[in-house]
Amino acid sequence: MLKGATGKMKKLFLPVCFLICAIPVMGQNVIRVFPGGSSPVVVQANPTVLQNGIDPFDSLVSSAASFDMESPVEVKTEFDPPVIAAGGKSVYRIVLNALDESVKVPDSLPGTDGLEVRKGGRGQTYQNVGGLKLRPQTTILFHVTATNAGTITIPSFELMAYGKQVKVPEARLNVLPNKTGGMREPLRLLANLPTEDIYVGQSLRIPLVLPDPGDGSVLGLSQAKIKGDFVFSESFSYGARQEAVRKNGRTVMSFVQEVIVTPLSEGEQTVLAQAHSVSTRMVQGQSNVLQTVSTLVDSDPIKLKVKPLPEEGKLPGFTGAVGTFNLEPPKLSTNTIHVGEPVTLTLVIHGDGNVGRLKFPEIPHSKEWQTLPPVTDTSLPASIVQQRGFTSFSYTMIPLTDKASATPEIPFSYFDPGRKTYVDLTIPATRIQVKPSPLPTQIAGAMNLPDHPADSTVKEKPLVMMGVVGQPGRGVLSLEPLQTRWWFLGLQVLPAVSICGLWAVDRRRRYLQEHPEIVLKRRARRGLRKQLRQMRKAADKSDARTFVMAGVDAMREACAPHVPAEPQALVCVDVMDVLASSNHGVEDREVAHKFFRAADDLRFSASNEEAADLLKLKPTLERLLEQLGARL
Amino acid sequence: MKNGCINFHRMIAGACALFLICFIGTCELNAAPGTNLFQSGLRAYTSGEYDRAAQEFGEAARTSPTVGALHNLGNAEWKCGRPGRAVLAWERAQWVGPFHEKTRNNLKFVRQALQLESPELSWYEICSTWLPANTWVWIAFFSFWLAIAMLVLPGTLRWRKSDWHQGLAVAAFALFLLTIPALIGVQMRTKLGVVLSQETPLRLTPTSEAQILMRLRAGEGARFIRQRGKYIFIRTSSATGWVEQRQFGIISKITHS
Repeated sequence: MLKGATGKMKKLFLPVCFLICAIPVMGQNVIRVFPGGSSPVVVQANPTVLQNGIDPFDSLVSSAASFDMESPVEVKTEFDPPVIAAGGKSVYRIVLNALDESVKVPDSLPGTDGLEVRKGGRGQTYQNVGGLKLRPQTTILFHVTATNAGTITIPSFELMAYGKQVKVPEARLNVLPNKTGGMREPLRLLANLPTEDIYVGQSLRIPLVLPDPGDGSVLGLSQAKIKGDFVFSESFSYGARQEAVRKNGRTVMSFVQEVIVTPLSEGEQTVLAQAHSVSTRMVQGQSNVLQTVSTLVDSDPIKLKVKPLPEEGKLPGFTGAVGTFNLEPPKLSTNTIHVGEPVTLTLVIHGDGNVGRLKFPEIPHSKEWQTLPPVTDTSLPASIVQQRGFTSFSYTMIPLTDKASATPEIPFSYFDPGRKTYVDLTIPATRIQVKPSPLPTQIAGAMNLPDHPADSTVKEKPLVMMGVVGQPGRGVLSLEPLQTRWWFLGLQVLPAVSICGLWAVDRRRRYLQEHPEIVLKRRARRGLRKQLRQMRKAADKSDARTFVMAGVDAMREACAPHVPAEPQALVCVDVMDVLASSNHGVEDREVAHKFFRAADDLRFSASNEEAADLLKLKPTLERLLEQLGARL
Repeated sequence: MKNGCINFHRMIAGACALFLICFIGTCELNAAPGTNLFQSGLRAYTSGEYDRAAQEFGEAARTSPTVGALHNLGNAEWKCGRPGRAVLAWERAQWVGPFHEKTRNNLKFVRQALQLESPELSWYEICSTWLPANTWVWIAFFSFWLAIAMLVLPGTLRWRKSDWHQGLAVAAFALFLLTIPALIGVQMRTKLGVVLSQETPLRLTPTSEAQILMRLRAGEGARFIRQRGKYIFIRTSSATGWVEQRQFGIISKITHS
């Protein structure tokens, strides 16, 4: 999850993270050396960086470096100071090269007999490890108070980093008897809280002070912030300076940075101040070498009593502004405009409060003006605006009538924590000359600009919810559109097939018109089959008359396409000609002739004698008809 | 030949009648099965039992989606304090019957009351709202096949050549071309949906542990892009991300949830 998330966000977070961490990181490049125990000499650990004149911060930001999360996680622990007197305080510090979000520490430390332990601050810095990579370094603090003299060992234990178990080495604290003097105390951050009442939404500028322990080891302070559940802390600190402050009855030099915090919830809040101190310390095993290091320091828990904003006396136009504010006179982009033209009203507000995150009031509805929501100047981040102490915003207004003579008043108010009351800061009306629209009435109408809205008595009806209907009304089978349903797509086949079928039929019809012999032959085959069936039935029943007539008709049907003529129009000669042209033998022609003669006899003389004899010729006639049928 | 011509005319008339029956069957359905549910929903609504009314109207709308059932379902859901479901029901009512004045008014009302924006529609999607979604399809269907028939049939059926055949074919084909943007609009609008739950988290990835990009308000419109498991990838006017399937309702699909 973490690795995946970092892919795109690394580049975005990098400049900010690096800006925050730049001072402590670069401080580690400096090593002070005491040659032969004399006064310290400062040498550059990485001289090439400064020699070539390239700013390492700019270089890293422009190169889009990434986090080093592949290196094995190494954990260091220490007590600071490592030697204290009984009843004295020390800091148990865990430092590891992993992203703060990925580190999970057990709720309680093991082996803390003889120690009172309290959780402290937790912070993250980055180190440039080359190869366009930044190595995150997380520091976790525990405050311990020794109750008995002796050596206390916090044994090795395991914590989670990047979802894996990482071994934390053991650390030892030597606790000397109670009255031992000259013990060094751990660095502590002090927060100067305001003594007045604190209100929800009030921006508090709190100085955080890091006193020097007296040996000049503290060189600077960075990344000062205040952490708490319901407190918003600006990401940048301000007013970095050195001051002489009184501590334990003596004056010591201190480093001061101011942070701006905003309580988000009423009631008692517990917060913790923390920062990274840049200080020097002896390199272990080399008593004459001092190293500059950045270490996380924090304060004791601080309790804030946050009061709610009073409901009583709240004024119109209150949008959450808390502090003391004043407005510069409003400025109009022009003093003379036409109806329908926009004009911009710009306001600058100064103050000591949440000026960076002010929300400005909407303009009340007016018949004379069409107004747009206020637009804040967003050219600078809110934290910078907060530090700058003033911001500007603008309203765009469009006159709807030439009767408007001034911009509308805009109610605005703020809560003054000092006076504990709401203060009216209404934006006054500003005089302006509005001329009639130069556009023709029709165009003005098209732009929805009423001619005289102020005079209009027709009011727009407010929208209300209409009631239920008594009838189901129009309905559908399904809400899915027809084009996505299979049956509708299948329905397209029907007209397609119909039209294609019609086209095919027409094409066939045209073909048959051009080739009438096909129709004749088809009709002849049909007629031949019909007469053959009749002929066979008659033969089976020994019905000579029907047999002969059907046989003759069959020959006519079979020969008709070759003449061509209607079958009933053919006479014996026609059939003889067809038989002759188709190379039939004398025998076949004789048989045909006999049948025609017998048919004539039956038709005209009612003589049945020859017909009865012809029943014997059935096989011959069938063969003849088969041969004629083959030609069709 | 004359008889054949008459037969063809009968065939065409029969086919037209079949299509007309289909059209009437799908477009102007008077939903008999849902009528009882609709009436009992009305009774529950008038007696102030809005939850029961919502159930009855919901069931009626699932059985046979009608403008009345969907409109009343929206009203009942609104009364129950479920603005997301109310907007979805009214949007569905508009999908079925875009001319329903009361539904249109209620959508305006709820969007004004909740400071919601109407979904951003492209020009062809706006065109598609001028008529009910299925009407566009039927217009396209009839105009296309009429154009084809007017081109093919006179020659096939040996009708006497006439200018009105070609004129009708051109007009029908022009009508078909005009319906194409609306058909595309209807297809695109099938992806439109409504956020159902208040403060619905829009997530970066389709998992319950995913980073929340922003929270969406109930009734906010969005477009369905794709689905993965029980998560749906949607695009709102300001962001894209994953929401749970049960927190998003698609206008053109009534589910039995």
